[in-house]
Formats: sequence, C-alpha cells, structure tokens
Amino acid sequence: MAISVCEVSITQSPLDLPARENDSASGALVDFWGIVRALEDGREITGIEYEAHGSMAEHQMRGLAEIAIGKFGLTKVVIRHRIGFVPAAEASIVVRVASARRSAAFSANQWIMDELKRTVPIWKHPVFQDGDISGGTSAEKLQGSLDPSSSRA
Amino acid sequence: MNVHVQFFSRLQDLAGVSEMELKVPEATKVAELLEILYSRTPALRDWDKSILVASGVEFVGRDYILQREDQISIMPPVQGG
Repeated sequence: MAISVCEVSITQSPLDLPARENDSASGALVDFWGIVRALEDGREITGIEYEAHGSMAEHQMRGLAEIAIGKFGLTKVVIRHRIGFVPAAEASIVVRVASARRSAAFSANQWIMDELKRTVPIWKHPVFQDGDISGGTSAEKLQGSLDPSSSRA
Repeated sequence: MNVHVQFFSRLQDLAGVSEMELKVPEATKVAELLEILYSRTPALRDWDKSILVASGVEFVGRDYILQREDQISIMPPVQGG
C-alpha cells in the first residue's frame, strides 16, 4: 500500500490548497472549505478573531489526521486552519482528503470536521459591525459540549 | 513543586492573566488545582462543568496527578472550524 501523505498547519495567512495532483491510487478527492458567515446569532459581523493554543492545536490536528488515515484508508489528508482575524466570506479552515473510493473520502472529511470541532483548542471571537468583540459563548451555552478526552474511535 | 498554568479565551479574561506559576503540594490532582484557581478567581467556578485541562499538548482528566514543572492549560470548550 502506498504511503499516505499527512499535512497539518495553522497560519495567520489566507488559506489555499495546491493544485490537484494526478494520482492513480486515489479515485476520490474531497475538499471542504469552512467559510466565515456574515451573521452571528442574527447580528452582522465583519469577521471572526480565532485564538488557538498553537502547539496543542497542531498536535491534535495531526493526531486526527493520522487516525483518519487508518480509520478510512486515506491516501492523503491536508488540514489547514487560519487564526487571527478572518474576514466574513473568507475561509477559516480547509480539509482535503483523498482515498480510493468516494464514500470513504466523504465520510472521512465529515469525521475530521466533527472531531476537530470537539478536540482542537481553537476559539472564536466574532467581531461585530459596531466594533464589539464578543467574548464567545457563555458557560451555560457550552455546558453540553462533548468531552475531548473521550474516545475518538 | 511548581507548575505553570496558562488560561485561554474567556477563561483568560476571567482570570485576569494569561499565565502564572503556582506552587502546589506533590501529588496534587487537576481537580485540586482547579479548586485553588477557583479560590483565587471565583468566577471561574461558573465554568467548572465545561473547563478542559491539558498537560503539555494532551488533554487530561480531573484525576491527573500534576508533575513537577508541568505546563497546564485551562481552557473553555473548543470552537474551531
């Protein structure tokens, strides 16, 4: 079996992806772009300020990518997360996966995003049109969040 | 022994500092560390059920026993993506 490619990064720059390479082992390639919406709880925002625990976030993202390779038989995983201020309509995250078949690629991309939102230490602070920077979500609203130390299997 | 504690996101605002050095007894558990932090900053207790804790780059549970010179992160639930 070919060696899988795994790349994760956190950057303050606008996100991009390399051009698709010709790869006869990968019958499917799925790219997911997460875009900052202009509305947050019905209020207009100019963008979102993303804060990260940088070293831990990269470590957790790499762990997710490696698990996904084994779980879904992927040939490639790329996860790039932007931090700092991300204007509305620009991408905050991109996930590219490749696999032999499409069902695994679609499932893997969804799984990576679900797990990333549960286990990667990055936080959002919406910046509203009036300049107000939200401190994020209240403790009450977040009480039901899943425990990231629980199993990913 | 000394441990280094970092706060993130809303919890940094509540704690009023981004990081601190704390002297704790040997074999202190995360749960006990949190009680120390709550006594210094009572508002943090409102987040008790959702606070996440890491040692280095790995999440740890409330039973984790602190090690000398541990780098402990105190975090609200994550919101990436």
